[in-house]
Amino acid sequence: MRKANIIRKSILYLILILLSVVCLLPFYWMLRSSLMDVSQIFVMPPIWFPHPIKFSNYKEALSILPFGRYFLNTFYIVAFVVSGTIITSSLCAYSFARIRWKGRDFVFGILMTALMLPYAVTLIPTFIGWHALGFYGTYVPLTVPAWFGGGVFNIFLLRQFFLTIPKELDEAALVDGASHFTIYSRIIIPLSKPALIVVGLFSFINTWNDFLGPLVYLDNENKYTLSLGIMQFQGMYSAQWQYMMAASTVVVLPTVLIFLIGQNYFIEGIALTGLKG
Amino acid sequence: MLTKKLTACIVAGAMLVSSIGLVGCSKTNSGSGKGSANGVVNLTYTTWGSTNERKAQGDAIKEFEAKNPNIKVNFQHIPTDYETKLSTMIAAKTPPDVALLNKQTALTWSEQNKIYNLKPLIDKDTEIKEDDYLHDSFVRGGPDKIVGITPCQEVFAIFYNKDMFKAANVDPLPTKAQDALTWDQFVEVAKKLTLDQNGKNASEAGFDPTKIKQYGVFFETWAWQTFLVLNDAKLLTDDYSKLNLSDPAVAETLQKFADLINVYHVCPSPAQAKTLPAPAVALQSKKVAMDYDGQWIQLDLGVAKTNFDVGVLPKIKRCTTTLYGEVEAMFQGTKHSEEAFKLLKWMTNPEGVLDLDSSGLWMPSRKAYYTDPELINKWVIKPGHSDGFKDAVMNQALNDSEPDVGYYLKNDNEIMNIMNSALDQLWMGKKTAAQVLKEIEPKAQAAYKGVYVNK
Amino acid sequence: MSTASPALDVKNRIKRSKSEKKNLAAGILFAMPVLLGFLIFVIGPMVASAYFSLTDYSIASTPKFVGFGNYKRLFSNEDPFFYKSLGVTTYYVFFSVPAQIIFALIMALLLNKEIKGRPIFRTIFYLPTIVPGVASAAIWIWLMDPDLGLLNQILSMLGLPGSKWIFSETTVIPALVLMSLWTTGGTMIIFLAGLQGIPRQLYEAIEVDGGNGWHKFWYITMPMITPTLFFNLIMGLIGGFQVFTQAYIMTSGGPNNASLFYVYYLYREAFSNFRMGSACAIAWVLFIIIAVLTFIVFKTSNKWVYYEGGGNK
Repeated sequence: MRKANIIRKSILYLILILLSVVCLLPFYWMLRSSLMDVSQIFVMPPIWFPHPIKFSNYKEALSILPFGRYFLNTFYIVAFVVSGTIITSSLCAYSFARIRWKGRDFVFGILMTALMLPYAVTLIPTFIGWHALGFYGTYVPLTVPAWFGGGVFNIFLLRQFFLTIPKELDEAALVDGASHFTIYSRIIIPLSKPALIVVGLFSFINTWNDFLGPLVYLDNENKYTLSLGIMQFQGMYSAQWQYMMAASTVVVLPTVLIFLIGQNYFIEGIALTGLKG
Repeated sequence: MLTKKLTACIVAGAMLVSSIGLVGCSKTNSGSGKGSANGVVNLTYTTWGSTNERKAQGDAIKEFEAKNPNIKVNFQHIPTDYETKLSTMIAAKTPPDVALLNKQTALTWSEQNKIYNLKPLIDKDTEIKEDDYLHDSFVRGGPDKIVGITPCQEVFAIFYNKDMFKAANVDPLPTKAQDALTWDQFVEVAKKLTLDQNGKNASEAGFDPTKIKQYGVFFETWAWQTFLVLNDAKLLTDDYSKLNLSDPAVAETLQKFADLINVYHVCPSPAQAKTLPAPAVALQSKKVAMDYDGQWIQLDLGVAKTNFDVGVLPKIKRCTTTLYGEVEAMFQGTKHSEEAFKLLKWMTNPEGVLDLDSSGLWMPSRKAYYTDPELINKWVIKPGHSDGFKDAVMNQALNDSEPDVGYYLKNDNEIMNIMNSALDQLWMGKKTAAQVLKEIEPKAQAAYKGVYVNK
Repeated sequence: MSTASPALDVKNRIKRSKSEKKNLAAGILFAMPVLLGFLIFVIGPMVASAYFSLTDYSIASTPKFVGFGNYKRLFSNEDPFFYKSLGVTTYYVFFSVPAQIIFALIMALLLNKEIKGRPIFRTIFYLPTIVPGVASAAIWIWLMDPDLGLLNQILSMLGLPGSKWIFSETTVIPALVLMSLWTTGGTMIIFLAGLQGIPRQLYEAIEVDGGNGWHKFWYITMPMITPTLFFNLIMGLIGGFQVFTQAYIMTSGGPNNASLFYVYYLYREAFSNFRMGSACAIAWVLFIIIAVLTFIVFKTSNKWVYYEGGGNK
């Protein structure tokens, strides 16, 4: 029994390590490209170890464009978006998962249609709308929508999670005279930590990397974000790959860090005590 | 309990309002059409390009502002999805005042009256004369419509790595049109420069086409319409009534180029090309000996310190080249046509964008820079230009170049989409050029909508 | 419902309708952000794009009403790319959605076990989703190179013939399906969160009853995971039909339109050919397809999705 276990575990580790290597490849490619001369980057078969190592790429890339300002701009946007998304999407998901109201599922179905129209055709009308309100050239179009539900994707996700929480908990609280908001904040939210973290994580990463929104709604380089800055290394006929990769490596690091940290809060299987009754 | 709910709502509401307020405060007064405040005119200028293009154009703009203290330019570098971004600005009726544009885009938009017709401004102007410019620098959307002026002419030639030629004992390419190689001679040169892993070249017995280490020549398949002039063939019939796809000369030209890939194995297939780096890098890293390309790659070649030179295109029937280029255009929505025109003139004046010209990326559009030795020396400098440049590229552009179809073909994008996807089969060696053209002709002809001007 | 006392019935009914009203108010109040958001940010552009689909609109000009002309043009095959891209996309969705879900689920199960360095492994598997597209593209082009690529080398070591991957009409979609597996990090994370939500007591109970790993998986994990599975299936369908980036970055829709994904074709129509009216018609055809499929999956969900919290009742 013991031996079978050890063999099983070793196979498991082997598979995981093999797959990890594959998944690490693009990250490693990005890192090693950031440290080479541009002429070496696309040589085939690939040069896996940069020689000579050009640390200067980082200094140059980050100074050609005002990445410091881009960082502040991006940070500002992300803070608004993540907080707005977590708060409003969980409130809305509670309504669709926990409150029985007439027409609820029908309305939810309608909301889902928001995901079904490709952005290419909603881009122009949406843009014209924001422009008519006078918000072209500001961060409003990039931040305010997050406070209006944070996207049907997140509401749908949280709804699914809330539906897995036993109703007995709600009913017990109702008997004690709790309001919906109390149930939401005292019962549902604490039990949904993994899902809320996922929503926060996704919304952070998506906003951090989003370049289309900033591209369309900003009219001044001083307001550009990190992802837009990275794109600026791309020319019509060629790109300055080494700078692009150096900047990308720096920009990707916060997302990796947040992801690593966020995982600590993935608690292992909720223990529901005091449920029997 | 109720208070808790209320409090939550109030807090959320407050954050919402404050976020709008905060952000609203940071709204600056930039953007086109914001007009003049105390006599200062605000213009918006947009362009694409990598950071060195951004810098060079930015410097040109700063110089313009210095010379015109009453004009302030919001220089917006749009790094990607250029047409998408401009479309949103146009749809919201806040286009830039002046912008660098693809000539096809400028022509299409001028059909919808979004582009300012420069003709009246040019007629009035005392500085600008069309004769001062290289032919086809003034892009026309009709007999009385000038859509834009080219700031950067571009032509095609064969760029090659001198070291590779020496190693293979091959003579450098001719730089004068009258000395141009015939097609068969060109193929032989390419063969000698294509080596397999064992060091055999493509003209030797025992050459292994599955193990090629180095290719003799590379060309971009999307540039196929530029090949036709070498065979004196045209994409459109002489009466401009339709596409000239059933002309055997067209099929013959395309077949010759495709044979480089599939018969002689001197050129990488699209699959193999994907694994190659950008042409300039391929030349430098000795993956490719010759590159049929536009002169814009000189910027990268120079920066990478490649030992390169350039030769005239080989002739099938004729040694000439194709003229390519983008335009600076003004948008109809501009509120300051005079100032915007000033800016446009400056950006198309080689004096302002000399850095871009001397880097090898652009070529000036004014004739004087091709004929006056003093001016020539200002921009034909190393490392962005090689010894053969003056004859093979500069003089060809001036004396013997045909404008690309993009200058006059309507619905160019759609036709090219149809043609390019069908031609994939040709480059992959699945069908002959004649077969492909015959099959795709109905669809392509259906998309043909005529020309803007006759050429 | 007993009718022992009519008066009691009426009282109950009034109580119920009062609480129904209360719930309606509470429900709408909690959902207010997204309801408002939908009305403000979604309805407008949706209606606008529907309207544009009935016009000839090139962004630079004012829209000209043409009725169903755009739709007619698509369905009568006058546009050479419509049916092709629809077929290509459906083919892709048919294979990629199940493949991605199964793969992500397996990965989530693996990464839910007690292994050392679990957070690191999870982060690594999520990495491909957040690195720049160009890095991923470069790696895949190297992996799938017909002559020198790693994948074909492995195949030849195993004695199998190599493939042309994205460079041949017949293999480009399978190659892209394979590529899509590696960006399933997001799906995997969602499955992980779902697995985290399964109470440990349930597994312990089965162990007490003498169940083994398979029992645990089939009788506990699978049913408890169905809400997450449902989510990933729906989002997989909605996202799969809108796949875009690979065509944009790697294949340009080729070779010979074999990877002309629908949204890439749409994007080209809008921002390269400047025919926004036609693009909107194309988008709305897709919308209907996705809506119908989603509706069908939703309707069948009652049969196979298990909600511990009692579901939508």
